[in-house]
Amino acid sequence: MKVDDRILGALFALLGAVVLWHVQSFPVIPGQKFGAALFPGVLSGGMIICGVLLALRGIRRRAPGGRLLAFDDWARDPLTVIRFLSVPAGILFYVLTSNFLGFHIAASLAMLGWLVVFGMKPLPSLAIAIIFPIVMHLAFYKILRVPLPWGLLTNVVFP
Amino acid sequence: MTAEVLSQAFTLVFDPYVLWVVAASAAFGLFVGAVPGLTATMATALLVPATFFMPPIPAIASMVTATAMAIFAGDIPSCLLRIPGTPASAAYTDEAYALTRKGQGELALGAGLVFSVIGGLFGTIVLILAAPLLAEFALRFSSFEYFWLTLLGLSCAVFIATGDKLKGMISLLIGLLVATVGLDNPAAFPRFTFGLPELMGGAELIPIMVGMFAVSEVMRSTITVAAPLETAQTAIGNVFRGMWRLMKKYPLQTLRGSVLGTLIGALPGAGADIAAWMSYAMSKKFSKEPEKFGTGHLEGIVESGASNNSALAGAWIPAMVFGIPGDSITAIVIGVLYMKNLNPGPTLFVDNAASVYAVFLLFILANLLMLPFGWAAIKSFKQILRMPRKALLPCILVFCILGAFAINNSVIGVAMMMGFGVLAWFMEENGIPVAPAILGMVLGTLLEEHFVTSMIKSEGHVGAFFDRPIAGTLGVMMIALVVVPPVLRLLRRTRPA
Repeated sequence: MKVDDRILGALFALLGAVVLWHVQSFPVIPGQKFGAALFPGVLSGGMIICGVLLALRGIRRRAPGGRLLAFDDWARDPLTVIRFLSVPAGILFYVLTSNFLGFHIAASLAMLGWLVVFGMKPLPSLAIAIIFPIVMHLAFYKILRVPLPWGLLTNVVFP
Repeated sequence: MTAEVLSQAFTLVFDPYVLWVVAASAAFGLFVGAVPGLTATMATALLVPATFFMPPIPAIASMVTATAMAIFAGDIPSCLLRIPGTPASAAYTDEAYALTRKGQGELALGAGLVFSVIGGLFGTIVLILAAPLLAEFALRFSSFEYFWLTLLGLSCAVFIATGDKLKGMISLLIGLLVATVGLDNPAAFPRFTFGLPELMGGAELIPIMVGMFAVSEVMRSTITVAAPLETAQTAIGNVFRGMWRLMKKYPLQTLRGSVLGTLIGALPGAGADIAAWMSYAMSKKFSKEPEKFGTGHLEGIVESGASNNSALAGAWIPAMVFGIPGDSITAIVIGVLYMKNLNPGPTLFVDNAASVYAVFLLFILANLLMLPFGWAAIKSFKQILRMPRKALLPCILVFCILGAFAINNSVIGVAMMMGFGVLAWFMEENGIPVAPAILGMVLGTLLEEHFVTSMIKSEGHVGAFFDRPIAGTLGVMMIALVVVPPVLRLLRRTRPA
């Protein structure tokens, strides 16, 4: 996904402006000229300048028929797009469900989804999706003592 | 100091646990480097969650070993598949593959291995000699000097290491902005926390780096995951045959590659990949037979192979002495050093000399181990290829999730990892380099601290930034770095040729 410099620059300058507006609300230290707002304030100035410069450069170098948003060839193949989007989608699924489902179930489901989407056969996918989280459980929970959430399995493991 | 400190360092390094970690990390680094699409930086990012639970020396040992191995291992698929295993091998991929097609794959692999070791050892020697001297000098620095030095480091990353300076600057500003999140500022006011208590302590760097270097790469890999990988040459002969002759034939090239690699490594923001590209170009320019380049000629592989491994050690010079990372890998390492209370900087050399010398020893050890381990990796490359990437990528993702979670035991880390993974992918898609952003995140807090401290000390007078001799010199250098190139360009344009 290629976004034209005109849009990229404008958005970045806008973000800088929002930051500049937001840091005005930071409290000042009494009797001190320089506080929490100084550094982000300087940064936001830089962001506005760079954003505007990028947008101007985009306008100057604009190619005839240049689109504001362009996609690569692979974006026309639906399966590749699904594979690509499955990465953030699977992680998001884990973030949203791991407290409720627990690490083991949430990670297994996410893995199963990835494996099938990437083109593994169902049976090996199922095997890997069950075994790998158990191996990770042994490494992180047992050896490194990371408190992985048990979720639905809490009552099974600690009856 | 030396004898006692050295013996302490030896005890630290030659401990069974450390040696075990070194061996395991070597195998891990070789594997990650050899699989196309997984880079040395990703190897470091994936190691961080594991190092979180180790004492400082094994933690550093694992990262030093894994990165050295991964940079070499990147040569294997670039030679046999024409796919660089890591970006640092991309400069001479075509050259190495041309040799493979002539049935001389073992020569290209051997040169990659042997000259990686030589370059790595050269960079290590420079690190050992230069770092303590610089540290002694740096002990005299105040907040003004550190402000300029940090700013100079960040500007190097933008003005020297990236093609598009404006986009490099934008990347840097993104990084610096992320660094301002949290309570860690002059007024201890929670900035940009969006009401999340997890962000009070600042944006946690480890999940961000795992996202930017591992998740974004997995996303890119999904596009090619279905394509099968096939090697051009099936039997690999003795990779060490003919190496002695090469060493005698190209001593100058080896030295030039090692020197340039170390220097580029030491420059903030530019790492092994840029070192390899520049050395390859330099080799071609000064070669007596430049017409042979690209047809399977070993000269360029020798020079750039030495260069990319020496850059790894070079990058540690500013990282250890000033706390300014020389490349993305040392940016991650610095994050780990802070976690381990081994804060980088000149005082590290005084307070913790044994650890510093232990790092030096680890570098020598890792580079020497590259010979047997690299040989084994070349031999078993076909088995590595048999590991299907469609099974590997989901495992990497679950590992990333666990790593991002384990830092604070919170899913906020996992969500940040995802967000920054998508951001890094988007940035690279649009030609915005990621390295300046990482440097900005690592150095942002320091830069602000030195900036605000200096402003308070000088009561707002900018002139004070130039009053002290070293600070003044650094300040002038900094301004020259920004002002001179455009002025030169303007002069060239006004004076018609």
